[in-house]
Amino acid sequence: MSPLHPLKGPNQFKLGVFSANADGGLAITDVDERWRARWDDNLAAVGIADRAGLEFFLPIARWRGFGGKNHVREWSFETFTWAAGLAAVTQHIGLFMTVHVPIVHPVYAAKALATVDHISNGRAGLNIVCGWNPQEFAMFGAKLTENAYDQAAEWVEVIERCYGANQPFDYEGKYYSLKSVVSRPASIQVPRPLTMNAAFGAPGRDFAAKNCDFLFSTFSNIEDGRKHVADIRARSKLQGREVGIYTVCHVVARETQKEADDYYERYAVTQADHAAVDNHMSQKKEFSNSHSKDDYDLYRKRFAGGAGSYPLVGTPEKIVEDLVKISNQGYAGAALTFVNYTYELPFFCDRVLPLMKHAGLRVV
Amino acid sequence: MPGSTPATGRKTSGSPRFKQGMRALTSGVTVIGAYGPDGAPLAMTATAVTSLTADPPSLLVCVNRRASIAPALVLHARFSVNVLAGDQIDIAKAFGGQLDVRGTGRFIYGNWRRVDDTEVPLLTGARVSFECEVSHVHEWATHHIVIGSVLDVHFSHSASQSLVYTDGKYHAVG
Repeated sequence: MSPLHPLKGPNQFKLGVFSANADGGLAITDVDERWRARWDDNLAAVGIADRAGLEFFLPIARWRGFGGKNHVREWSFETFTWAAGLAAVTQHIGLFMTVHVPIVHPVYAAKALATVDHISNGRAGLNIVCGWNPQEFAMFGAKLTENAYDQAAEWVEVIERCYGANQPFDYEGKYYSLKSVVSRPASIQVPRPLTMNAAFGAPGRDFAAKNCDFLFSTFSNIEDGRKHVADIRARSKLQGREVGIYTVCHVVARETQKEADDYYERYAVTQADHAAVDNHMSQKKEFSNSHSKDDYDLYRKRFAGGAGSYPLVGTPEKIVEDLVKISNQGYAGAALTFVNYTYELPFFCDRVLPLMKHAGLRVV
Repeated sequence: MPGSTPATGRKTSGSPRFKQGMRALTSGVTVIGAYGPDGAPLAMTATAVTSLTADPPSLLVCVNRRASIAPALVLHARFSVNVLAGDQIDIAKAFGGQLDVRGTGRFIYGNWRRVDDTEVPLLTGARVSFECEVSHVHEWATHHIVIGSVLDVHFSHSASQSLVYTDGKYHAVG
């Protein structure tokens, strides 16, 4: 019988691994063990996550890095091909692709996504991003558009029509004018593979409410999460849809709180790749809506630690305490990052997952 | 409207009393899946589904002609009848219009997969899914009576309980 997509599985609080396809993961650090994101590293990490029953692997889409000493993120695997490779060697885990709307044509995206859905037997997912980095767009001769989410809405509509029963079809939109489109195979998942987005502003959240199954939302304090949840729920209800709300956390799990705090301080402050942190923060501040200005000033450490996401730092007990609080805000799951995924995932899976089960967040 | 007009019974008690009476008829719960005229998938919770003949394998589905799935169930159209398992109450409610989800937004409930060749949407985890082709449509008052020839039968090996509907409530039994 056909397997259940893990993101539709029974765990109340779902877990994934984020950004293992890119140098550094989400960290900007110069510690020796920093993540190099080689193919073997990815294989090892996804194997651990798959066997432990984590629900998803989510890549970041980067076309250039943030400079600094290590050219952090410059090395990153393209995500359709990355997911296709991982799909062939995993059994259960959901595999997302992260795709820039203005850079990838929707008819191409539909076929590539369907291909991964078939290789994975229905475990594919699509993270739809509009992009924020003008230097990356310049590489493609593309410009940031004002109404990026209007284009994204057409883009998704084209993909869904590619998977529809009526073929061939013409499409006449503001951004796409297409003749006699056919695309087979369609995805295994109906109506399409699960979709997600990480928009922060109102137009992006409305786009997600209408077109995505999951929305990722970061917060500075766990207690702030509730208002994001309420906002997204209200927007999706207007569309007659339910959108699961997830967050992103960087994790340092250790036997003692002191060990965890010391390591966090070392990789994200003392041995941060400071030039790259400066670069990353200045670019994002200027061009991205994904965080408020206060966050930038207050959480430089969190940028070096995990691109401004929330830190889960401490003993397994402390981390589960935080996860329970996050779940209580209404979050349905989290994508996690580590300094070195293969070194740190085993401890996380062995020690944190059983406590999550005990706390009622997970059943398996 | 084409089709037959039902004769009024000599001593009709009216539809409220009929509906009240039918609450006592316990039935299995299915979700019917198909593709609409615009190519998008549609699905609807239905209890008015019954076995018709074993040879040839065929079943009968009654669908209100105002239901969004009704235009999809035309002669030779492919559709699925998914018999819900005991843990699929949310799915029954979502596709029965009892939750705040509309259109393809309903498909967040349940894991729906295309059959390779016919592309019929099947619900993973249903006790059994019948893959059908519409062989005949008969009109009766507000409803289409659809006869489906069964092309294939897909069993679940994990679902053990069945979902039933009686007295306006869902129950898991078995």
